[in-house]
Amino acid sequence: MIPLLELKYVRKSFPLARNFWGQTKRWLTAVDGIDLSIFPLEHLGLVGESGSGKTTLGRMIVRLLKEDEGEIFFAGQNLSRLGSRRLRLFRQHFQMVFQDPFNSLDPRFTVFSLMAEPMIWEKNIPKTKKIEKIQHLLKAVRLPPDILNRFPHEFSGGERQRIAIARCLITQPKFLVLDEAVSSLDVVVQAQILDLLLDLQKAFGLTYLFISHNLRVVRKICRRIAVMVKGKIVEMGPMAEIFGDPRHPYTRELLTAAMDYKASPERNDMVFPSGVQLRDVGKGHFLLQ
Amino acid sequence: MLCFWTLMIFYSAAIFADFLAPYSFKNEDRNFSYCPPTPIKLRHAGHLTAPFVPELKLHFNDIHKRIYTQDEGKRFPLKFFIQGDEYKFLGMFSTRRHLFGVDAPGRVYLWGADARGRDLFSRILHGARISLSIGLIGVFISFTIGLLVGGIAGYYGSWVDNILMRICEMFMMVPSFYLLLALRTVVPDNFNSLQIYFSIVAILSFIGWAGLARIIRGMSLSLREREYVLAAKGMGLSDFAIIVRHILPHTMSYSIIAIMLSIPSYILGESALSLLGMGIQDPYASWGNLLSDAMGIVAIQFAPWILLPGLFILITVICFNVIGDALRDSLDPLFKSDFAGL
Ligand SMILES: Nc1ncnc2c1ncn2[C@@H]1O[C@H](COP(=O)(O)OP(=O)(O)OP(=O)(O)O)[C@@H](O)[C@H]1O
Ligand SMILES: [Mg+2]
Repeated sequence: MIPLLELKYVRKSFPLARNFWGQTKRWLTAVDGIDLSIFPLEHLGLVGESGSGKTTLGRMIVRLLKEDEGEIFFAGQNLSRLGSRRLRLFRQHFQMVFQDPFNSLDPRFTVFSLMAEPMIWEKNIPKTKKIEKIQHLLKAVRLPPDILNRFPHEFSGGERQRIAIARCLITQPKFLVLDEAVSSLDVVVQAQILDLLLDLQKAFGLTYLFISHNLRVVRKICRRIAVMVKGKIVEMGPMAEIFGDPRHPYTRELLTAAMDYKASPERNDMVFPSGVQLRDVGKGHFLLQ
Repeated sequence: MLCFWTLMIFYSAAIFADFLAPYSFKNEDRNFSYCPPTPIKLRHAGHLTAPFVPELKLHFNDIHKRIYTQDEGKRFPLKFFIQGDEYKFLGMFSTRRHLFGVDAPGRVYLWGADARGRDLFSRILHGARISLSIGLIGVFISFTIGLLVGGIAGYYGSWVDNILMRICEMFMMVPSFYLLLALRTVVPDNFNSLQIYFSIVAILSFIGWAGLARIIRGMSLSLREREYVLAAKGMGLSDFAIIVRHILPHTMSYSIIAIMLSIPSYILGESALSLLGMGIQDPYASWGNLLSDAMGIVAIQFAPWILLPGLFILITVICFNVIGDALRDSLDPLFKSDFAGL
């Protein structure tokens, strides 16, 4: 099968400290050489502790950040090579849902202007057509269609996240990065949004990269999981394999925390010797060794 | 609130100056040089009458000072909607109607006359047009530049930011008054009054944009990290659209205050230039060049009313400052919510 998205040894560092001459002295490597493939219609869960570089990775995929090294292919297209004009057109194929729906919707815009914004360049589409399209999507995310003139602050967190999701679907993307998309919501609303995401996946033929630090949530919608620690993927494999036979100490720790997993091995010192690679340990289960 | 209404009155007076003023700004009568404010009388020979202006007779006393005496033998009734100098009402149609006036050869000087016998009341009204509009137009131009430059510098960061900010600093480094004078000397002498007006506006806005650009740049530097800005970028919006739609509107509460607080400096700048004879030229009136008549101590001593334009400058400047401060107080919570960490 051809992957929809393919990452080849992607790295990204941020400057930490500069010297007197403005040269960067210390770097923080947020994403440290990641290889990853995501296949069409798949849900890949990306879990890891805070600061492990999940958001950075997601933002590089949707081109809100540029990687320092490595290449990212989307549907065969090398994203790193796209010029800015072509990239802007290409963006319609992938979208990102942000963690906090209170920040990702401009408070000064109405629902209509927010939703119509991705269509801003399509001047020849009449407004009634746009409204029709928007209402169709609002219906798809189970929101009433008569909210077009209301402002984001008039909605609850769950409703806002639905608006944010509907907004991402306007450009008819094939791929969504959901960065902690349900983390700020309470458990009941979380479950509703997860259900919605599964339905939308079927209706629109979407592929998800689902970023979270909560294994319970990931288990609900993902069949494959990648575990990230300090900018590296340490373990990756099918849901059942990871839950049934966690090999990496950090994975075990995550499971212990989330699922009352019984085993409690002492956590190893997590320093990676150089030259380690993800190795196949059978049944599609990969481990950093 | 008082300040707001004061300014509203000033601005509407400026708009309808032609109609409200009994004379045009260049209507002169040298027989009435430095004529003091004419009294408008309601009583004649002990009886109540319609308001009238007595005839004024000019004498010179022993030190050749002009003395105007009133002679009620000849009375000029004050008439409303009287025919006078022709003007274009709001620039649309020609008319001769003025709100009030007296028939020639009588003259009504509500606030006295200047050296050439021109009515100061009329000239202050006409001058308000120039003085007050320079503030608005100047602010509009320099804020457009300041917002765009600041927005672009903050949004792109790195070298774009560096270059734009160094340019800003070049403007801010030179004391603005000297810059004003230096730029004024660049303007050719043979400009007509309209060209001079616009070159003054251009000079004032040229000086004014840098300070705002720096502040807007700081704000947009922090605003560009907002998730809705990232989201808009991810939607495929162009950088310009993002700056105009998602960054600059969030600096508005600050900008409005800054606009209010900076209008006075434009009015003062124009006044300073005109006072030095480098701004609006006679016979055109602005508050600054009206005040330049009041530079001699003798003139002030014998005709103190020619200081009136200064009073108007003062009131206008105070009003804008008070309103700016009041806006700052009322918008502060809003401002804080936009810039919690700034
Ligand atoms: N723009 C930036 N400048 C400097 N450092 C950054 C920047 N963005 C992220 N980092 C650093 O990179 C590291 C990875 O951050 P990232 O946001 O990707 O982590 P994360 O896995 O998403 O964490 P969380 O679960 O808390 O969201 C962190 O140490 C962070 O401080
Ligand atoms: Mg994150």
